Amino acid sequence: MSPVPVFDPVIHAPGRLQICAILSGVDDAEFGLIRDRIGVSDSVLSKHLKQLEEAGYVALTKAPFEGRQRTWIGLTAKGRRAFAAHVAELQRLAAMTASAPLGQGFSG
Amino acid sequence: MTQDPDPREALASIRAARADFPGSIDYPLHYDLLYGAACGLLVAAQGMPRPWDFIALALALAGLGLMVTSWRRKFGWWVSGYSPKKARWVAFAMAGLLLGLIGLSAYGRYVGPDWLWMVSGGIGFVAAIVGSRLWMRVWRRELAEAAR
Repeated sequence: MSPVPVFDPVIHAPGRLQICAILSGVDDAEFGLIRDRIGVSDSVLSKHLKQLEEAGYVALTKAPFEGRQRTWIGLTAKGRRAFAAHVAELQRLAAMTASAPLGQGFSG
Repeated sequence: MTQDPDPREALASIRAARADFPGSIDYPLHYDLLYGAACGLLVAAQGMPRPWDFIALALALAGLGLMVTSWRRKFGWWVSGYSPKKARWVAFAMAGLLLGLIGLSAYGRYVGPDWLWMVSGGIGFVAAIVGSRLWMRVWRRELAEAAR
């Protein structure tokens, strides 16, 4: 079943959009992998994750590995639904702007 | 990219993040062999005489656990066989086949012949390797479709 398009301002910020895009393909991924993939610092990624976590969209778990703690991040069911709905909304808006005459496109 | 919610720019950003993720998954042959052996043992254990059935079962579960840990360390991500919408059907088919083979092992144990677990275990070994490679191929295609 196709998700109902809903724009989500928490997900839409560029960094968080990319984090959700990566996590949508897997169950969970390691903090360092996501940081390297989207090219941000540890602190920037931590801020994005905190906002996603506060919205209930991601779950963070810590596991020891080679003598230090590593953080694993996964989308929650709520996060997966919200991301799918947000992508559906983006596709709907993109289709609208593609078919609209010049000067009448998406304005936010 | 700015905070401006331009939908095409946002969709391009999603495609870029998904492009070639999770990247190359060139896992070595011993992953296949370990997974095949664990599944083969899991199947064969049901037909083995005591105490080998318990030993084989413990080894199979330990092997599967070791595989998951090793994969996570090597690649930095994990996806269960049953999570992706399309590839999960390969996992369901695999689970059905392995359950059937477990039944075959048990049949050999209680009805005979008592060597049947070797046959079912061998089939389980091969089926697990072929199934895991097939699952990976379907999943990669599913990811590529989602990135379009």
